[in-house]
Parts: sequence; C-alpha cells; structure tokens
Amino acid sequence: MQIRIVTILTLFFGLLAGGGAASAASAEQYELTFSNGSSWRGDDGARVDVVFSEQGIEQSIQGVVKKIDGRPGFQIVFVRGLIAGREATKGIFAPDIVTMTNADAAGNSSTSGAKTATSNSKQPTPKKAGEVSSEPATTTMGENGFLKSSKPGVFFMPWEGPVGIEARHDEIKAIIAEADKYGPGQIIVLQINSPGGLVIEGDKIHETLKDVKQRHRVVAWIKEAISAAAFTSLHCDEIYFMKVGAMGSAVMYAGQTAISGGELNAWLEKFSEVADIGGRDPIIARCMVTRTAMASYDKDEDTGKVTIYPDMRGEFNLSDENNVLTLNVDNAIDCGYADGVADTTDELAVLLDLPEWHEVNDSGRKIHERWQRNVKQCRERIPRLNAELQRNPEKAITLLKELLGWYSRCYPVLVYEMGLPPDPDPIRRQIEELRRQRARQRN
Amino acid sequence: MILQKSMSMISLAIAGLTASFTGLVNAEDTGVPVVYVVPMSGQMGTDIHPSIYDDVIEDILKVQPDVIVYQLKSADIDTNFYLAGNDDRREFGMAKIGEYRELVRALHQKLDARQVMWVEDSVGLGSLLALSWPEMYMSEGARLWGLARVSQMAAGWSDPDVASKMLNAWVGMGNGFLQIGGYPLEIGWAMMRPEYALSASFKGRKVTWTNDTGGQWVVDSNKEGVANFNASLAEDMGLSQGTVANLDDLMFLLGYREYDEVESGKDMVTKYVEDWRRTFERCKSWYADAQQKLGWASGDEAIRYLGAAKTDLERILRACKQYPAVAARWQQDYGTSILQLELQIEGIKDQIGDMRRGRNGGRGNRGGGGRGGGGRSL
Repeated sequence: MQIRIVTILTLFFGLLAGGGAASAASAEQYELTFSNGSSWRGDDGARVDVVFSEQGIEQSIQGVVKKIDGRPGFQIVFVRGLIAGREATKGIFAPDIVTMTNADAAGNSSTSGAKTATSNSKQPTPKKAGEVSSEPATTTMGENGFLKSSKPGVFFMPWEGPVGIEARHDEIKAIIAEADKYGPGQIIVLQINSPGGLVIEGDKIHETLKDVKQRHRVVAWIKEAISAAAFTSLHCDEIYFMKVGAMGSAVMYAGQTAISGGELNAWLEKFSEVADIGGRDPIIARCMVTRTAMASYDKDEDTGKVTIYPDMRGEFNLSDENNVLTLNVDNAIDCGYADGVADTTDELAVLLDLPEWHEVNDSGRKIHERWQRNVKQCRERIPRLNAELQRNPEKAITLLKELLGWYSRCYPVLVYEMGLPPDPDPIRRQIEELRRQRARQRN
Repeated sequence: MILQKSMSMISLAIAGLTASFTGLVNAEDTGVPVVYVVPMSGQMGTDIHPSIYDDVIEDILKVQPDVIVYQLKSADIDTNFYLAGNDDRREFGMAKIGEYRELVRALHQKLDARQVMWVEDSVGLGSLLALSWPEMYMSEGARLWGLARVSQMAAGWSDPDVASKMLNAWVGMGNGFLQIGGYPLEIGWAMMRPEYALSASFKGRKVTWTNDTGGQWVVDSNKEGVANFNASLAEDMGLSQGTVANLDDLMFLLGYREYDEVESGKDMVTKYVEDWRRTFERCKSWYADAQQKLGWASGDEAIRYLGAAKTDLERILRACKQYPAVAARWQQDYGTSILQLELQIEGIKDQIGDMRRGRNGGRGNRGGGGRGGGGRSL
C-alpha cells in the first residue's frame, strides 16, 4: 500500500525555518509497505538501498529515488544509481521489492524503518554479440493466472518508420497486450528508429503509454527518435541511446508552417506533461517543440546533480533561442535525459539489470514484421492496381473491391502517404454504379 | 589460404626499401599481424554501399585479421577517380544517412578486430564515415571537408521553426556518426552548420572544443562556411592521430613493424565497383535503345518494336535488382524506381496483348498516386 503524504507539514516547518528551497517544497513524500511487512517512507531525491526480486532473481541497487509512479499495488519505484558502472535509472516494480532502506550520502544504509538491505550491487559483464544464452527459457501458467517465463526477460519490439504509417499505435497496443498476459511488472522495450510523423497517432500513443506505465516498465531504445518519435520516447520510464542516436526536433507544423499561438501553447503543455510523466524536466522538452525556448544546465561535479535553467545561464548549453533541440548521446546522458548508452541487446540487458538478454517471446518482432510486410505489399500493389484500373476498365469492379480491401488492411499508407480520400464510401458508390451500368447493359 | 603482402620495417632498412612479397601464406603460420584493408572509394550511396560491405564483413569474419583498415577516398569535388577533374553532381554522395548509419553500426558491431579509419580524401557525406571511428589517420594533403551537405539537406523551408526543426534533425542524425566515433558534438555542429564557429583549448593532452572563437586555437571563425580540416590541421588538433603516406606508414604508426596484408576485401570492392558501373553504362545504352524502339513502334512493326523495347527495359530491371547501386543511380538520374520500371514493362505487355487481340493499343499506364494527405505533421 502506498500513501502519498502531502507535504504540508514539511512546507510549514520549512517556512518557519525561513528557508523552503523550491526543491524541498516540490518534493513528495511516499510510504510503501512491502509484502514481507517491511516499509519505507521518504521523498523524491532520497538515497536508498533497494533489494528486489526480478522474476525469481534477487538483486540490489543503491541510488536516488527519482519518482514513484503507478496506482496502489502496482507502483514502480524509479531509482537512479550505478548499473554496470554507468549511471542509469532503474524502474522497480514495488511488489518485487524485498527491502528498501534509506542510505546516507556516503552510501551507508540507515537502520531506521525497514530492515537493513545488503548492498551488493552487481555489475554484469556484457557478452559479445552472438554469444548464446545459457539455457532455453520455458513459459508456464502461474498460480495467479498469468503466464510465467522461467527467465527474466523483455518484450522487445522494433518501432520503425514514419509515425502513423509504419510506426503505429496499434503495434504498441499489441505488444502491451502480449506483456499483459504475463501480469504486471513486465519490461517492454521499444527500439525506436523513426523520423516522426502524424500528430493524430501521437495522441493515441499518449493515452496508451500513460496507461501502460501504471503496470509495466516501458523502455525506449533510441536509434533515431525525431519529432513524433521523440514525443513517444519521452513517455517511457527509461530512455537508452545507441551511440548514433538522436532525439528531438518536435515542431508541429501543417503544410509549410509551424503552429503558433494557442495551438503552440497547448502543444508545449502536452510535451511538458509527457516529459513530466516520464520523470524528465519539461524545460528541455519544450526546447524540442519551439525554436525560441531555451535550456542550459549546471552539473555538480561531486554529486552529479543537474540543475536545468530555461535560459542560457547554466554552464552547459543545450538549446539557444535560435534552435530546436535534438539531443545526441553525449548531451542526453550528461543532462540526465537519457539513462544510458547501449549499442547491442547484450549491453542493453546490462543496463536493464538483467542477467542476460532474453526476449520472453518473439511476438514483438512478429508484430513489427507483419505490419512492415503489409505496408510493403500495399506500396507495391496500389500503384499496380491503379495502372491495371486504367488499362482494364472492364475489371474495374474487381479492382475497386480490392482497393476497398486495402482500406481495411493498410489505411495509413493509402490515406496519409498516397493521398487517397479518408472515407472509402465514394469507392463503394462507384462499385454500385458500375454494377448498375452493367446490369443496364445486360438488359 | 589468403593472398598476403609481407613487409618488415627492419628488412626495409637492410634490403634498401625492397618490399618482400610472400605470396600465398597463412597468417597463422607466419605469426605476424594480419591487416585487412577495406576500400571505401567513390560515390557515397553507390560505390560505397552496404550491399558490398555485407560480403566484406563475411569475408573478414572468415579471415579474422588483427587490424581492419578502412581506406576512405570519397570526394564530391575535384578528385573522385572517375571524374577526371570534372565535377559531376550525379556523382555527389547520395543523401542516405540512415543507410550509412546502418553500415557504420554493422562494421562496429559485427567485427571484433581493431578498426582504423584511413582518410585518403573525403569531401561530402563521406566525412561522416571518416568521423565514425575514434582511431583516424589521414594521408598527406587529404581533406576532411564538406559536411555542409548535411545542413543543405534541410534547406527549402521558409518558416523559421520548421526550418530549424529540419536542420537540427539532420544535424542531430549527422552528429550520431561523430558520437559513435567518440568526437564531441561541438565539432559536428561546426562542420555541419556554417554559422557555428569552432575553437579549441588545450590543457595537457586534453582538448576542449567550443563553438566560439574564444579558444586558444581558432579553427573556424567564418560564419558563412563550415569548419573543414585538412590532414595537418586535423593532426594538430588531435582529430587525426597521424599523417601517413601509405599503408606501410600507417601500420608503422599503429605499432606494427611488419604485417601481412589480406587483399580479398580490396578485390571484392574493386570488382563490385567495376561491375555495377559497367552494368549502369549498359543500362543507359539499353534505355536509349528502348526509347528509340518505342518511337518506332507503330504500324505493322509495332508489336515487334514494343517487344524489343520491353526486352531492353527488362534488362534494366534485372540490373537494378541485382545491383542496388544501379537502382539508386537509375532513380537519381532517370527519376524511375524499380516499381515504376515494372509498371512500364507491364504496360507494354498489355499493349502488346491488346494489339495481338486486335484491340486499339496505346493506352499506356499512368504512374501511381501522388503523396499527400492532410493533417498535421510532427
């Protein structure tokens, strides 16, 4: 059970003391009770030792609580600490936590509250590409009615191409449905490689990802996340970059012109909200949306704490008033927007704190391949169909019926890419008209 | 068994600069390090194309060399070997950043051996490849120029926010190459964006780069042009680890006094480039023939000439399918994709069929639907 204790008392005492730093005022206090009866109480920013069990394997991490998300019983605790020698954020499903204790700045655990955790933070060595996993995994039905994999793993899905056409909300929903079969607390990895796309798709993605974060850990693994793909990535609990990765440039435009005024403000607000639910500072996100927003930051050499400013007063510049922001691996990690860098699945497994890279099943890859194959077939078939229609008008009814079928099979390519009308009713009417004409000719 | 060239720096001195060629020798027998040279020469997107490097990677995995040297010679201006001093825009590197990124990632990930970039010359998008490896050497007089091409890809947008979005998206993707090479973002910004300055400050061996002119060494203060490096400047600034005259020099700087060179990669790439370029020339000739035959296709001879034109177009289609480089150049130079070629051929087939059935020919096909669709883009 989690109780969010509003920080009125903290604020009150803070004000009495004449201080009240903004960060303290905005901190939230949580109380978590774990299945073994132990509990933890603390704020965002608290340094903790966490011992947790992930799919049967007990692990530990020491770090700073970034946030606690999710509904009661299904919270995810985000702890930023050292994972495999790199600073990264780990999302831990609360029911998996065995103990969680406060640690002092020097890293020593306090004895107050729950029982002391033994901190033996593991740092697995990444395997070389092609190295096979030790044992094959098996899937069984658990007592709770959910499927259970014998090995900790991920639900992995490539998410590639223009958003709304090749990279869609539907495939994200499909991989979530697959993960749901295994119960809450699964890891969903979206390998993102997209130049951006349609706003309407972004809206659907927004609602779905907001919801799924309540029960699963969603990870973006970025090769290219431009525009709507950056918007999608920012929802995720964790963001990892490939070394070649780029993320940002999310200016919304129609025709040749960027949105402005109220529309821009609404978009800025939405982007800020998304950054916030992903546990990231909205100031940086806003720089991806409009050229005139600015961001810079200072970084404490000892603690690594990043302070972000909405102007250029910080030591490190991210985006001035003339540029829309696109982050690369160096500045994304340095400012805390990305949680680590991984070029291979094995490297990613280390950052995810998995003993090895294991995909619970290949459904994500199949979902992706199926849609990509459909898109490819559509792109090849429709121009042919059009040519056949012109060459063989006598086959028009058959061909138009096939075109109607493609509306069901591959709507986004037809409408958003090829510019066919969104509503196929005129085609249906045309088929009817052709049938009537032919009937008249027969009579 | 592999073809090797063995060269010992010691024997060089003794034998009066006489290289010793050992012919077919197994590297494991000799115990000297094996170097595998991978040429990257010519036009980015055709001569330098992932399709041939997939085969090269397979070969490298079989050979298991100690060192892989990427020998880059790709200049959009002045010195492409087939241009003979006559710059031809059709030979400029193609804007296929995603394709180059996959190539770089494949080489980095699939190959375990030490990898070294040797820039003989690079002007244009080839410089992204040059900067994708942390260990880089350059030839005397070599250029590391022309990344303004990246920002030029974003040109044509009048709205300042949209223009900035496109520019920063492309530059961000370009900078991904520098990041995998371990180079700081400031260098990328200055090399891709004319308005960015570049200077460096030194503290011991550590170089700090900034996009202003405040550093100890100003590399670029010109707001009209991007930062470019020649071999000596790149070496002075620590981008290049050294300037070399040839492979022997390079290997010596890498710390190998003797080495065996595997030439199978060179042979594969050379053959590939010769093959696709020869095929492309044939395609041009087939196309000219096809056009002529289509012009003659009327009256009693119509079916015959249409059939002959169809055969020529089918040859072009086969060439495009065999060589992605031919397909890419065909699309660039003639504006016709594989799909459009197929449609054209199908149209001619229908026309012939109609004529044989005694129907009126000449309906021809029209291309596919255009791009469009309304809505907002992100």
